[in-house]
Amino acid sequence: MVSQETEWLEGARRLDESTLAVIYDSLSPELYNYSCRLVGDAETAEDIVSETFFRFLRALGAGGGPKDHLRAYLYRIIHNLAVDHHRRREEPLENQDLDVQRSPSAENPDDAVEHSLAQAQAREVLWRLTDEQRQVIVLKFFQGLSNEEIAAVLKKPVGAVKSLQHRGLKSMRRILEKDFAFTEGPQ
Amino acid sequence: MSKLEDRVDQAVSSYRAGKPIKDPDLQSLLETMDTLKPLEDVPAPDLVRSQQLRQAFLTRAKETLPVSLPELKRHIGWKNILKKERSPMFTFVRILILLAVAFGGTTATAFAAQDSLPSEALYPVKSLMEDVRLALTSDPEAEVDLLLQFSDERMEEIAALMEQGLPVPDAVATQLQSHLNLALKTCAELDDAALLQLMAQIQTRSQEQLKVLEKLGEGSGNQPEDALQLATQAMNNVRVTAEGALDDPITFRLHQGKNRSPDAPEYPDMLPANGTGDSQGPGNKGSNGKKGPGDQDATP
Repeated sequence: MVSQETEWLEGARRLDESTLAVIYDSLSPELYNYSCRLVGDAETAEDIVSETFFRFLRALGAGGGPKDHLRAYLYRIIHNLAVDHHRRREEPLENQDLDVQRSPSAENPDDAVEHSLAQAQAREVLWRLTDEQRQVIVLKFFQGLSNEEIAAVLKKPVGAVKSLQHRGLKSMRRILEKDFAFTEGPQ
Repeated sequence: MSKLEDRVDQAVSSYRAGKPIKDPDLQSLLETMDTLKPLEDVPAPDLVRSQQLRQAFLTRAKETLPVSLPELKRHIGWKNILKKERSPMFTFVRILILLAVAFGGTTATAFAAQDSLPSEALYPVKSLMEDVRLALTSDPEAEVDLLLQFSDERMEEIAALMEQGLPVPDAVATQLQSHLNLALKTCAELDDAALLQLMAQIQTRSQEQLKVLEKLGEGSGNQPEDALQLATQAMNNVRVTAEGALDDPITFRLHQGKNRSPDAPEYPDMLPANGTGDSQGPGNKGSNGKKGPGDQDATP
C-alpha cells in the first residue's frame, strides 16, 4: 500500500485526473465506512467523505497535502470532520434520528429498531472515549488497520498506539459498567 | 510501552481473528468490544449520489490549478522571512523616534535594551519596543514574522537565564505562549498557500525549539522550572497545531476562528464560502432536506 500510495501522491501532486479518480475509487469506500461508523448517518457520512476529498484537492492546489501516508492523511481529515459534526449535533440519544430503514441487517421493523438502538448506544460509548482512543478502537477493530498504519494516522509511535488501545478498552469497560449496567460474561 | 500493553495487543489480534483468549482478565476486557459489534453493519451509500459526488470531485480537480513554484519558494526559513515584505531598519528607526518622543531618552537606551534579559532594568524598554513594533505592523504575514521573531527572543532569554543560573520568570514563558498563539491566530487569516508555507516553517522550527528545551530541561536537574515546562507545553501545542493545519487548513481556521470572534457561530461551516479557489462540495444538502456537514453558515 505504501509504494502504491507514493505513486498516487506523485500523480495527485500533478493534479492528474486519472490518478485522482483511482485514489477516490480506491479509498472512498473504506472512508465512507469509517465516517458512517462515527456519525451513524449514511448521507452525512457521504458528505464528510466528499468534503474530505475536496480538502485534499484544495491542499494540493495550495502546494500542500500529505508528503506521504495518503490514506492516513485522509483518515485524519475524516476524523476531524466527524468530530466537528458530532460536536454540532450533540444531543441525547432519544432525540437522534436512528436511520432505521437503512440498516442492512434489519429483517423486520422490530429488529431494525433494536439494531439501530444498539448502534446508537455503541456510538455513544465510542464518543465518550478520548479522540485518540476512539480513533485507535475504530481503526483497529472495524477498519482493520495495523498498528503501524494507525501510528501513521495518529502521527505517534506504535507503542503509543498500543497504549491508547489498552486505555481505550479500559475506558470502555468503565463507561459500560457505570452507565450501561454492563456485566462481564461467564469466564 | 509495558509488557501488559503487548499482551493486550496480542489478545486483540486473537479476538479479531476469532481465536480464544487464554488470559481471563484480558478476555473480560475484550468482551467490552462486543458492545460495539452493531457498528460492523454500515448502510450502503446511495449509488446515484455517490456517483454525483465522485463526478463533482473530478470536475473540481480539473479546475484546480497548482500554485506556482516561485510563490511556493517565497519564504525560506523562519528568520529569513523577516527580511522580506518590510524594512526592519525603517521600523526600528520609527520605534526609536517614538521612544525618544515618549521618554525623552536617548537612542542608546533603546539599543542597549535590545540585548537585555528579564532580570535587568532595561528589559521593560525591550518589551515596550516589541509592543510598538507589533502595533506598527499591519500586514498579517509581517505580523506573524514578527511574533515568531519575538518567540525566538523569549527562547534565547530562557536559555541565557538558565546558563547564568538565574531563575526564569513565568512571565517569559507566558509571553512565549502568547506570541505563538497570536501567530497561529494571525496565520488563520492568510490564504492557503501562505498559511501552508508558514505552518511548515513553524512545524520545523517548533521541533527544533523543543529539542533545545529538552536539553535545557536535562541541564536543570530533576526538577525543571515551571517556566520551562510551560514553554515546552506551549511549543508542543504549536507543533501539534501546525501539523494539524498542514493536514487540514480549514479545520485549523475554524478552530482559530472560534477564539477570534465571540459572536461568531460556534460551529461554522465545514465548507469554505463559494468563490475563488474554495471547495464547494456538492450534495451538501441532502435530498431529504437533512442538514449535511456543509449546511451551516459561511466560514468566517
